[in-house]
Amino acid sequence: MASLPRIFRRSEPESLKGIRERSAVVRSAELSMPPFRKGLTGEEARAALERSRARRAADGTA
Amino acid sequence: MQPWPGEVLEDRAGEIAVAFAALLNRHAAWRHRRVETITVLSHEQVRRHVSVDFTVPLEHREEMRLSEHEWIVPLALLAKRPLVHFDLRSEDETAVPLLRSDEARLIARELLYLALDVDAESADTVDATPLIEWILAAKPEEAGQIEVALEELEEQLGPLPGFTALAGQLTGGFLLCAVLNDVDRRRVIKFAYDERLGQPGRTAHFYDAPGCTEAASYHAEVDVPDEMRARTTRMIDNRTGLELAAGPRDADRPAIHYVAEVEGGIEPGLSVTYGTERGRFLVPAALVAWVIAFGLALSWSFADLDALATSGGPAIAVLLSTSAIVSGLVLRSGEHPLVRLVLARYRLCLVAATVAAVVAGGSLAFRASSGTLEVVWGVGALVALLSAGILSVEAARAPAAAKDH
Repeated sequence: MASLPRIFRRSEPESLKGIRERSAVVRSAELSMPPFRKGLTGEEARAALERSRARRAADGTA
Repeated sequence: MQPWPGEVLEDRAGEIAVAFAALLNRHAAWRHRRVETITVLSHEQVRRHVSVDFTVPLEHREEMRLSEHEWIVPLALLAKRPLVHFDLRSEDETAVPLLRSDEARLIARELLYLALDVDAESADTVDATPLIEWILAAKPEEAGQIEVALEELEEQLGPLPGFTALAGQLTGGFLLCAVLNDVDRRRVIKFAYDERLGQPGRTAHFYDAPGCTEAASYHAEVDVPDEMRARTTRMIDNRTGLELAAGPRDADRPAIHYVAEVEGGIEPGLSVTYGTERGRFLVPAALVAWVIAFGLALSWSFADLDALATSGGPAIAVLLSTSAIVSGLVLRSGEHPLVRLVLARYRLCLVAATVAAVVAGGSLAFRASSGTLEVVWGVGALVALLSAGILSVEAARAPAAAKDH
């Protein structure tokens, strides 16, 4: 038979893993910012953009 | 002829995307601090205030320039759904202009092309334009179909880790970009919006906090409603269950400071459990319930209920008057909706004790039979004792009323 204190005890989940699913959730209006390749230099990014622009200009999609 | 504002952005989108590629890669290197304050508006809604303290790196200022006195700065990625009560302000609380989602899409488009070209040496063998346009215009529920299309593209071009990750995020969200008139100094830009709870929550809330890894330092505060306390406040990685940081117990404005060791890779959120202070309702309610319980139990044990039925005017009046006291505790106006929700079950206990008293008084007033009086008063005493016990235990468990400012 359950003892009186046990009736009133709110058992704490042993693991916090997945606590989001056990709670009332506020789904953030924000998402994680989009990632970009680590170590990408400005020169590499600019070169990639120039290549992409040239290709789009050639395809007529620019 | 000078270009119109919309045309300027179209011309500058590629340069701005080059700067964004660098900034999105190293959040902690230019964002000094991010502070979030979560105000609980009700059991269904919170308001999130965010401030981002940053310095635009000198080497990228020209790339981010839109016009002589305007620079575009990425602040966040917002989900593609209507924003409620959105507000964007500068340090002195003046309104800051922001790019519309279709304007931000011009930059996002260039970012996607850029990411594709960085990932794939043979990007020119495939026309990715239809897929990129689909990603930009997609609704979040189309994520599954886009994922399939991305896999097909990877089969043709080889692994595209950066492009697929970026595409995934831009399917569900759009860039929030502020238009600033000065990036020569350190800036603090604030924005705020309302968010709904997925389901009305009573005591355990989980607030997603994806931004906690996007600055060198992260602070979060919870503005707890009056008459309530945050019993526990913890920042948790939901994926692993790891506690990343913890705030003080039983606080009325708990704060957490967190410094991310790595960017991304976790599913962070603030887990807060709330409790009502004991002094405002639980203690008075427990006292009232005990008065009712003793009144009924003692009368049932020792009083001559039959005699009271014929000459019990004062006794009945005393019993019934307790309902007036109870009404004052139960029907309070101006209470925070979350407090009302949390206290609902305890109010029911008090109502049960009161009803027991009223029914017992009524049985006397209507001169019920001896057997009925015994049953009604006995059951009433039991109900009142049980209610008083529950209220007392909860009052003992509840946080103290004194504020810890």
